[in-house]
Amino acid sequence: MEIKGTLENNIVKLVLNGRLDIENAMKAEQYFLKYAESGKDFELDFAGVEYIASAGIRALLTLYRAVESNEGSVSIKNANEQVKKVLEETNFAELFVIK
Amino acid sequence: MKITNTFSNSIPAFVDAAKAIRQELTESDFSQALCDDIDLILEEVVCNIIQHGYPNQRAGEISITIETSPEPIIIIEDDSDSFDPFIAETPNAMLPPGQREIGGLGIFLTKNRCLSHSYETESSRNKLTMHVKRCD
Repeated sequence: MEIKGTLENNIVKLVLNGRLDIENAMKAEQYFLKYAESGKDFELDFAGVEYIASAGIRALLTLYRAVESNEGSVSIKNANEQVKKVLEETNFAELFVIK
Repeated sequence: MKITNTFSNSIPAFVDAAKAIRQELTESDFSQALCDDIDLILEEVVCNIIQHGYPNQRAGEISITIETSPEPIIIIEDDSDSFDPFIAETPNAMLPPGQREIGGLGIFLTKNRCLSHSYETESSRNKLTMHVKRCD
């Protein structure tokens, strides 16, 4: 999994590529926490995310909790149908701004 | 078409097996959505077995069989402690998502993708059979 991050006006923009699965979710979670120290609001570009499993949801939930404590927000754009389906059926879509 | 793969009870070994299975599934007539559902079921169930079924990092072996016709069936056999992952508690949907724990979420996602599932144990072997819903 590749994650590229930029910080603009206190907004962390992350572009993710690959699978948010058991192999990659821990790495993603570490990236999220590192960037959570830098900015308040997060914009995640999921155009390159092929697939998510519960390990990936866990990583997103960790980010949400870190951001929530700073009264920030997490938005996800360009998610594919598989990612949207998993977020919606688990009700975790409510936590994020899905664009 | 029948896909089989046997591997040791570690996450890296499963990751390699799952990649090989994904490649083989591309030769089936399944849609990408159905392949993703099968992929997700395998990840959630096998990781659950590895994390909870082998105390003290005991070595073991896990086998996956996927039958693609007439309907998709996944069979997972292992030598973990007798253990039915499907008896795990369903996450409390009444809690706000931000307060919810992830535990049990993988099995919740798996159940949503199965028409039926069964568990058998015999002679220190566990066998899970899952009939997968066709989403295509």
